[in-house]
Amino acid sequence: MATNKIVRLIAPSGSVSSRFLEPVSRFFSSGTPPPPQAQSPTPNQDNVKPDQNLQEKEEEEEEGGEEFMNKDTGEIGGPRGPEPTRYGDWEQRGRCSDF
Amino acid sequence: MAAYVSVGNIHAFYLAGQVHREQSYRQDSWSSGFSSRTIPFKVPFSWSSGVSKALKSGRCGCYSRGVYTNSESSKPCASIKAISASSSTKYYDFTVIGSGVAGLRYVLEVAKQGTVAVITKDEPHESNTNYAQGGVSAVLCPLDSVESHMQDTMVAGAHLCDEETVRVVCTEGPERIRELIAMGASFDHGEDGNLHLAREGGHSHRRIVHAADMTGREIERALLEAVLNDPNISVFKHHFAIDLLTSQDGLSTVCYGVDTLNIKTNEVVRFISKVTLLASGGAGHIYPSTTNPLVATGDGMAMAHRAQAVISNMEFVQFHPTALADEGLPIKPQTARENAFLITEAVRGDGGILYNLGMERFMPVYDERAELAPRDVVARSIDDQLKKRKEKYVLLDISHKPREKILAHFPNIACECLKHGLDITRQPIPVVPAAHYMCGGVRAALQGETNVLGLFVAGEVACTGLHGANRLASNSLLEALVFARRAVQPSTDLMKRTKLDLSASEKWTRPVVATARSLGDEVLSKIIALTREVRRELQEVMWKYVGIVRSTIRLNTAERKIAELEAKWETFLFEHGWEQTVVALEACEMRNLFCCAKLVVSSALARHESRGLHYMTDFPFVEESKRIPTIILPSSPTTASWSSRRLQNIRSSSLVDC
Repeated sequence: MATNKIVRLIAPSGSVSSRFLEPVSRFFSSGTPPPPQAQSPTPNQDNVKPDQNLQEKEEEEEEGGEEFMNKDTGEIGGPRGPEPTRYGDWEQRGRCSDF
Repeated sequence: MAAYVSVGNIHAFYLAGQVHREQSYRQDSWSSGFSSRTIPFKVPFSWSSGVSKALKSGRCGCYSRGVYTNSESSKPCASIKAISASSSTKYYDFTVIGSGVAGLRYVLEVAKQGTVAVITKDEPHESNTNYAQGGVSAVLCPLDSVESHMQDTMVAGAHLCDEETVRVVCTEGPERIRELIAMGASFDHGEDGNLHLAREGGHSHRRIVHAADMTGREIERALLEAVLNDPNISVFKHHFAIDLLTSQDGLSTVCYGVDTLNIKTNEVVRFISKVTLLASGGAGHIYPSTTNPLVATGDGMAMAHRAQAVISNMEFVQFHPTALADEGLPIKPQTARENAFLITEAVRGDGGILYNLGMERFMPVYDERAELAPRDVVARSIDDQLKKRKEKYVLLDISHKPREKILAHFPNIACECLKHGLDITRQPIPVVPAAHYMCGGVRAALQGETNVLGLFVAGEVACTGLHGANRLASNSLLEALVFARRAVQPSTDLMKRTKLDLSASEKWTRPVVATARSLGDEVLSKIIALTREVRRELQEVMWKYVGIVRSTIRLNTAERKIAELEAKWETFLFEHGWEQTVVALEACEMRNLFCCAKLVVSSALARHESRGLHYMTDFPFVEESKRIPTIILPSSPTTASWSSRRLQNIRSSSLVDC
């Protein structure tokens, strides 16, 4: 398993997307509440114009289309939207998880 | 009356306390049950060398009470095969209390040397680690440096950190991260295959390693998987640790294991072990609003204090200024929220304004930067407003910003509030500070040793000197990883030198489970109901009098009210048939909460300055002469309340042998 991880780090490929999904699926099976990304959209979001930045970033997604790459930072599999640490704490869609 | 301290383990501290007595030495408060001595004093040598020296001088010769023999020169003692004489007593080489990152990291190493029991009071993943969703900091970028990480840590810690500890942690961090990756933890990376490093507040370089937004959970998952696959490790979930098993060997206190309560079967299970690691996490639930899960009731800090371990820096409690205040929601949550929902700085950064319930914008009064002032200034301002106006929450208003932007940036807040009848694009968000992390805890030397022989600590329960007066973001997972790893060598050395007398398990009286049969149905329900009420009252007292902005008058009031509350609670229990050794989950958690609350108050009263997380209106400035850790020595067993003394007594027949 360790070898697999090293290979994935050096040469990200289709296997990367399954690695990304892994913790999420295990996460669901543990019975704990879903991570912010997994929450169903609020009714209001139907009316929201998509954020310009978000749209651009989605266009940059890898083939396979499941893993998100951040155009500005090159980060793969990371959070979408504004940089989580832009105001010093660690935030995801408004909720702070570290500071 | 002197608190009993063992020479050879903290003798040096005791001497130092006397030498510097004229310097803000606080006399014991002899209100009922409050008999710990708190001394701030200058440690004449570095934190770590002092403790190590003291511990080395204490660990000499044999423990002659028939339980352990410590023979340095003889061949290693046999590892215990995991046997149980009965289901109620189990024997292991190592017992670990807590299944967060510190406990599990340690377990994976020591399991290579001997048998291990992991005791956890809920499901193994239920710990503060799992909710630590930001990242872990380490120097992994070539442009970064250990010195820079050290500097950032010390500045954040208001220079109360122990420099040697900081150096060790910052130096060893990168290797700990690499090991986690080798164990299967998946962290975010870039296209070039390198780890993606973020930069959090307080850090001069990008150095935060993370896994999307659930770093703690990812680390916990990887470690737990490895633990569950290891045949040498036995995990005992739903086992609540009651008290450590200790006895005096000459002038040293020695730990032999721990008594637990199996919550599912309602049975006491005794664990006898050569080495015990305490990794039981924080104590957020001494406050009414906290980000900590329900398990965080300060069990480890309380048990360690009762076991004569030295406690340090408990006054440094980290709060987040703006947690969603359920009180202010139009539709209250049906069940009490277990973990506070923290509202990000980004809301203020994007233009959010703070108002009190009189709709006055108060931040400009406290700081010219208003809502953009540093977080601790905002926290103090909110706290001050709440205390002055006697209100339960303040308001954070972002509704003046474009609706689309609010919903795009903060959909989590929008969703959560909407569920409870609040539209953040039109109405302000109710917020209140929440307790998040304890910088203080059981005093640890550089390898996690405590002044109790055979007892090691790692993680949030420990006070290693890394955080000082305030924790730098993402340093807590790092501290847990480094210290868990460092404790392995001395633990293993001790384990190999130790021989266990299997008949010694009856040396201590056994806790007895409270049942409807023993107390009566009605009495038991009344006790549980009262305990829940008393917990709420204690939390209110702590928030009201031991919050973010403190004063001597308020702390003294807290001390008195807590003592009265504790006496009222204990009296009720003991008048209704409860006894010294009787246990039940709610009651044991309550006694731990009382113990931790008193440790916090005691420490806060002893620090006559404001530094980092500790702010006193009557001592509002930093005092260089007070840049020293706060130490709490063990309390006297004869005058202590039920929360302050260990449950088990040593049977008198055992003492005859000496």
